[in-house]
Amino acid sequence: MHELSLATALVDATLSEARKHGAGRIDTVRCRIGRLRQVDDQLLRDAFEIAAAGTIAAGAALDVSYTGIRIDCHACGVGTDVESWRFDCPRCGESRVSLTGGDELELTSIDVEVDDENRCSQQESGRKERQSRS
Amino acid sequence: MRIDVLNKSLVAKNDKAAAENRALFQQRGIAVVNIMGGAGSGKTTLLECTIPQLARDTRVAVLEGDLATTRDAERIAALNVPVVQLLTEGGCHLTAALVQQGVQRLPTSELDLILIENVGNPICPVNFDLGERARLAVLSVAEGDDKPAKYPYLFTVADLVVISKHDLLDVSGFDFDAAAADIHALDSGKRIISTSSRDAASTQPVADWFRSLCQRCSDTLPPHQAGM
Repeated sequence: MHELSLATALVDATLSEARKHGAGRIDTVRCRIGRLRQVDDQLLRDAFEIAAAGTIAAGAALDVSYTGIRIDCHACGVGTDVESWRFDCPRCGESRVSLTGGDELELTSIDVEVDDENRCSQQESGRKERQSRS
Repeated sequence: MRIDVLNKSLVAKNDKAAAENRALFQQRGIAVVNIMGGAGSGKTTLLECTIPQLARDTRVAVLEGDLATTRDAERIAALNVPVVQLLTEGGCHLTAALVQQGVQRLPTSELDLILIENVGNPICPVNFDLGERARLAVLSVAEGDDKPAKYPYLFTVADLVVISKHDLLDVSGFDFDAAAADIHALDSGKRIISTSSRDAASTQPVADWFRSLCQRCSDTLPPHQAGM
């Protein structure tokens, strides 16, 4: 159930990006998750719905790109995408390899609706804040 | 409007706290081990078996991660070593921030080794760096020999695998060679130690491994701090 931790982090990161752009609503959230992380897609979607509830990300489409596991061979130097959890170089059979891909956990992009009124009122409140500070 | 975020890590907050932990442990020359494995795999029992062996030459403390209760911390406290119970209150894994809070309650200037027992779960804890130097995976023969294949990430990141409850091998039907083959498919050089709490000598290699980590930590200390 690390899906709930990840979904919460995903929503937090999304809201912080959206806020920077004065977004009033978030339509789509795109992220990249490596296969090594063993994330269950349905659990992640359920958790995302829970984490996004009551925020401007509520109801947003979640677009997850799952990235494969990649190994680099220490002997022949060739990089390979592996399908199974067997980390031997398929080219030369060497078992000394480095994992070079598959552990990604990243927010990559979001689609937002920027409400002009919202943007103005944000600038307004920012101005007021600066005035009150000076 | 599309906003490209340039790959913002979802574990950035945890990684930041983990880096702070790691810097503190390095500065104090403390070896820290993140012990992970399923519920009932024998993590606490392994601590109970190894800590008394370390007592004469290694100053050890324990952080106990659980969803609820202080039962494990009470078992460790009986060994007369400093222990802090970390309660995740439903969370399925420890976080670096929770470890940070726990470490603040430990006498870090008087320690060589901190053993962190993660929440009993072979999946989620693996995704959250705590700032540790080494990772230990515990698998009991009672859980079944298919677990390395089912939870491969745990066995991929582990520096040492302990297969516990060896005394139950016959009744459990656990195929040791099959489990070892699945672990070695991930990393042919992965060290596996077989233990049983009924055979004190079987846990000695684990205690020795903990000791070797401490040795390496004190070797990396600046000269003026070594031996303190």
